[in-house]
Amino acid sequence: MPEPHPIDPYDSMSALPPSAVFRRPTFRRSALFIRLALIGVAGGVGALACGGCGLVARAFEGGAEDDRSLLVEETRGSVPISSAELDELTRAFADRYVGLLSSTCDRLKKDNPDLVQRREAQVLLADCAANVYDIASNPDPFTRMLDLIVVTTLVSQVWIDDNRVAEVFPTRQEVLVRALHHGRQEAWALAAQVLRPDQLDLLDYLLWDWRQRNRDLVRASFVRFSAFAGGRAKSAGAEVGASSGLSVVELLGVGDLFSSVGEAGRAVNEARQFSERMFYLLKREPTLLRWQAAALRDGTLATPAVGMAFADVHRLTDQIEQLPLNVKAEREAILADFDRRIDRTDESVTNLRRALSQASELVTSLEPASVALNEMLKTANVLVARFESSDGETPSQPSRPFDIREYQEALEELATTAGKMNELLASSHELLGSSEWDRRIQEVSQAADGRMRVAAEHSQSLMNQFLWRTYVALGVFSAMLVLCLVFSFMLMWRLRIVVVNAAEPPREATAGVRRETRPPIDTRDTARDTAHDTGEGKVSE
Amino acid sequence: MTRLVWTVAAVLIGALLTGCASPAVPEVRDQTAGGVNTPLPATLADANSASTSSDALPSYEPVANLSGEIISIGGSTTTNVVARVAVLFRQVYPNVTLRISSSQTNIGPEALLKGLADIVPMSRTLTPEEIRAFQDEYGYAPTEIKVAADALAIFVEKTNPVPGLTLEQLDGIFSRTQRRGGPSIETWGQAGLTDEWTDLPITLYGFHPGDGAYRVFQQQVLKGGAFRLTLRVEAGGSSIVQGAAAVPGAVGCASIFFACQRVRAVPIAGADGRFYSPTEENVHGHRYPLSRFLYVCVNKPPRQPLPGPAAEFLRFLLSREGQRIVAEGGNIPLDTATVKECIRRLAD
Repeated sequence: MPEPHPIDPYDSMSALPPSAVFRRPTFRRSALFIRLALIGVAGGVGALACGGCGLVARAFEGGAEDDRSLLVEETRGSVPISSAELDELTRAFADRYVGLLSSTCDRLKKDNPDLVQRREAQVLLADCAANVYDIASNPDPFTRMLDLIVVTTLVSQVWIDDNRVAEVFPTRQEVLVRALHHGRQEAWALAAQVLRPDQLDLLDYLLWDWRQRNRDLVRASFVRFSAFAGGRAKSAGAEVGASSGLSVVELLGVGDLFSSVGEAGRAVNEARQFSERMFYLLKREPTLLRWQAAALRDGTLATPAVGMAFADVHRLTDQIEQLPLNVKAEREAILADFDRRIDRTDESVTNLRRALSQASELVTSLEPASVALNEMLKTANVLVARFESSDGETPSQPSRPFDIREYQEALEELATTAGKMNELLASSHELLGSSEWDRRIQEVSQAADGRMRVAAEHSQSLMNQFLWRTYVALGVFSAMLVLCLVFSFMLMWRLRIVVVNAAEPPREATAGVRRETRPPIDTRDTARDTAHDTGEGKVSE
Repeated sequence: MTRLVWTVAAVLIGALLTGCASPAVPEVRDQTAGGVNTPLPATLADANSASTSSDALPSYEPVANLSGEIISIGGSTTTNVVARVAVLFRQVYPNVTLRISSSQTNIGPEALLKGLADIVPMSRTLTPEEIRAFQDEYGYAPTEIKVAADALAIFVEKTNPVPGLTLEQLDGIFSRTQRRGGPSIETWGQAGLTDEWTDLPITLYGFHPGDGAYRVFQQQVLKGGAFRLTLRVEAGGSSIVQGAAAVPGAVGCASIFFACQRVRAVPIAGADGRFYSPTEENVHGHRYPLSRFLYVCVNKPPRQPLPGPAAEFLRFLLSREGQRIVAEGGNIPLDTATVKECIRRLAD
């Protein structure tokens, strides 16, 4: 197999026959063959770059069969666009695109506590803004337009088609999707004023194909259209110009706009355009720097270490914020508990007062009852005394005549007393039937039980103490008894010795010694002892 | 006792073997049955499966001392396929120069008619007028060689719950004439969706009228009717798909080649009334109704070989290697029967 060599996509344009001249209705150029070699995908990356893919612009007279197609063609081609207009349009679009992204970034960051999302939003804005302004300062408006299409398309493909937006901004993805899609549509609308539909179609395919081959690329805003030119480190315009002898502007059909301008005027224009580009870029540098600084700040904040520190601080501040609430809650709980206890105490006091009141009423009701009873007893006493006196009176004395009124009075008093007794009983019965009385009775019972229990314990203690002292007394008594017996035994033993000594003659050696050591013995005691032992003394007494 | 032990052992071994033989994963539903909500195959997965089917094709056998020039002028969709294959073809035949130009599909037949191109990539068949003009010039019809298959997919945003659409519904959605007789459908509620989708208007994305897919869709779905004026014409397939992905309630028609993660291809009702997803299998089986082929048209007189290296290029394109490149690029390769039929047409 022969050694393969790369295919130059642009040399394929040079050998087309002269008859292959197509008219381009967009710029109303009759028999213009435009060799627009826009595309060259990198040899190892893009097959099309090596495959010699190019664009042949052509539109046949009357070839468009569809009325709608004609309408679109005429609409797009009715107004020629100049290089100056394209220059203004591209720069205006750059500003609008950056403004759109800035607004979107603000919406993504607003009230967003996620540091990673804030960083990603700011990085997206800073990257796109820096690259779009860099593109907008390119001297060639056509290259500028192509680069803007590349950036807006690839960025939208990364975030929308690859659904990166759902991974990074899961809750706010609609904002970014809408903005990026709108930016892409506007860029392609701008391109549609310069390129034909088939060129747009091919460009769309090339971008999509390049994206499929570079799926790992996330920061797509750094890609330029020159990346599709086989990595030759030249711009697409320069590449095309070198291969065909035409500039990109001329290839687009706008080169004739400069044909009437002299060299001096061209130099002045170039100097002016250069100054404009410089001013354009310099005026936007502060904003770019501010966004870059914000991106750096957000990037720093989104680092894990800083994130952990912030999380700790947040936790601490949260706790501090919640501390008054916790204290308040605890204080309210304590006060509520205290209030409950106060309520219970008040209820007890109320019950006690009610019981005392009932007791007072009872006492009050008992007082007239006792008075009535006393009077009844007095009356009964009087009656008894009368009957006694009538029994003991002598017949000689005339008795007091029977008066029925006395009995009537007595019976009335008795009825009154009985009524008061009934009232007393009813009051007592009511008192006994009340729950308070039961409770008081229970309390009294409990108190009595407690007293009895205390008394039992106390009596138990007294009994224990009594028995303990008794045991001690018995012990002392026993000890004293034993001592007494011991003394008695010793005394008797000594008396027996004395008696024996007195009965036996003293020995010579030993007796003399004993006489010397022993005290003198009372003879009377000795005689009594002897008598006691022999029984003679007892008889004599 | 020994007999009992052996019986128990046999039962245990049998149970073990039965467990091993049982499928550990649930049975996969047959996608070709056309059930609704079938997942959209990834482009890469399509390419892999396609490469598997292209393995059945015969391998290409190079010829000696081939040189010359091949000029290709045609539509961009098929030109992309041709350009991919041309890279490998140039490695085989370094003395062959390929000059590939792409534009709208309309310019291809004219270039063939005027003899400006050796091969004309087309994303549609030639119209009767184009064939008649060619016959008037040369006395015979141009030869159309299928080089790849494709499916026009109806893309919606992936959260769109529409289970499937019929051709009549598509006509009601995309057309302002409704030649299929169905009602005009302007909201998703009219397409059968409920809840928050009921009043959501349908936003249309589609191709430029000069594109081949535009005409295919117009003929197959709209029966030659007119598109709605609200159709948002996008520059290319990826723009259409992104429009469907970014705008809620949007629907776009583009090649399955441009599928992305944020969209879903809606199954379309086939001739039997069942819904089919735009898979390679359904395209080859002619079950998916919006299937199409990508063609290369050549000027070949009957019973005469195709002059120049163009014939060898087409043979290479129809070989295992060529179809594998087609599949790797995300397109659907041809099945074996179609390839044989195309080779036979080249030899006639």
